[in-house]
Amino acid sequence: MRPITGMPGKLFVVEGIDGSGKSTQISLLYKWLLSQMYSVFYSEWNSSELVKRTTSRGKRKRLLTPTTFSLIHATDFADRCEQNIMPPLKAGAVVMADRYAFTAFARDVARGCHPQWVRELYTFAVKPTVAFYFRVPLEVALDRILSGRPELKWYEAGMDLGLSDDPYKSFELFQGRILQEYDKMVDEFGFEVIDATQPIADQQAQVREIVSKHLDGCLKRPEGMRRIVADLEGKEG
Amino acid sequence: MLQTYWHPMPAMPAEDVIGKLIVLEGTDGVGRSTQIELLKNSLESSGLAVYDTGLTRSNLAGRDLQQAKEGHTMGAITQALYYATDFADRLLNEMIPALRAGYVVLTDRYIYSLMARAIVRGADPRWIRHVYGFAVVPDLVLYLQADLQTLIPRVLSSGGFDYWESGADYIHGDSRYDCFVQHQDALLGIFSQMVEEYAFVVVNANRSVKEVAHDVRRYVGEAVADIQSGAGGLPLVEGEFSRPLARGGHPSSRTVSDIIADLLSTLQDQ
Repeated sequence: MRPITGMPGKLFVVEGIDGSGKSTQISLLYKWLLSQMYSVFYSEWNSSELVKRTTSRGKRKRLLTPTTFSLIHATDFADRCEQNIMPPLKAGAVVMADRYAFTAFARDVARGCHPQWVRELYTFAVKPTVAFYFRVPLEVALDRILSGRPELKWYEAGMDLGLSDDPYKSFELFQGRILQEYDKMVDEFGFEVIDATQPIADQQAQVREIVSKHLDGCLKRPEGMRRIVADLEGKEG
Repeated sequence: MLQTYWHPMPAMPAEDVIGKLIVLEGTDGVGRSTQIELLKNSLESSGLAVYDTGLTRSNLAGRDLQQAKEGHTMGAITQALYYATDFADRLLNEMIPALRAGYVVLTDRYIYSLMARAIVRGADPRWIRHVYGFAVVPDLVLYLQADLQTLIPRVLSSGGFDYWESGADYIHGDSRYDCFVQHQDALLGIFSQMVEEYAFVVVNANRSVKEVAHDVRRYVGEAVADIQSGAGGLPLVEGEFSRPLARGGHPSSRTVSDIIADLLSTLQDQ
């Protein structure tokens, strides 16, 4: 991944297995940054309009192999980088991403793609200012997700790997593999590890403390800009 | 066993395959589709089963990719990865099964065109080589090489300078002709760098269809020699077009348009 240096913006990403509570945490962080008048952009995994049709057809008709699954998600990510992530970073805004390239590193490798190949696919991406990893034991995450017996989608449950005929069993095994991949990345990418078994508010306090160290010079929203301008004019007058 | 340029895809067959992967590469207007058509006929008439394929025809992404191109909104990296998705789908779901079934797989372009297109649009050459590292190393890559002076009249006579063939998505100029020259020149430069690295067999495509077909047939004949049953090898180009096509496995695959295409190319030759 490319270093973020040279761009005035900051990029914060959250990672973790399903049921780790990362989406709750990033949405709390988003609201806080907005309340602090920062100019904040939010980008979600798997949300590019451009490749949506291909991805959903591939999933619906089960056309995807581990390699095409990996490539179509990389295409989606590249489109979001080019359109939604890089421009605000260059402009000096705060960008937040719910899942980033690390999701691919964990999931595609759990599907059997070579770790080096998947990492190489994403070398065009910028390295986040901070990557939070919400670490949670497998049983806790499974309990959070599966207690309502939701309907699991084919690829979500990792059914394409043939680990088990039972979607719930398959999901458990697949998530277990993904968790192992995340744990391997902690040192490799210098994740900020948050213990995701703690109460939500405690986790959020830790996240905000870390984020607040990196906000110097980030772009504020127009209301904030007006206040700065007013201050400057006040000094002159 | 199928060899790949870098790490193989998961689920690659581990056993030996008997089919052959033959690639025709070259820039726009160089005559690849004509040569593929001729080659397909001659391979089939010598009793070999042929599977022919080309870019952006995948079941997964082919149609969406065409539409996305029409919108002209993709960035260089996105475009490169979208093409790679389409390619991977065809490789795994079409080409590899055909190779396992013993077909001669003829492909109109391969990763080399895809890489060259990405590189001229600013993608990192090292990166794009790694992206396509899962590609199967072909048994033969024929690179049809022609000079711009040869290509320009051919492109003009077949409908003029197309938006994508002129690189108009990334080269900005008033004249489509100037864009075409700049774009094709850049592609030719990148291809020439690949010749050695990817063991291209260079075929001089500044010559007539017939002369080129003769060379193409000779190289392909050598590449498929070990899977051809019986004697003879591939028929040479002389007399090819007038001979009734006695084919073993595919009596129905020759359509009226095939015959007309052959007739036209024979007439062009003469």
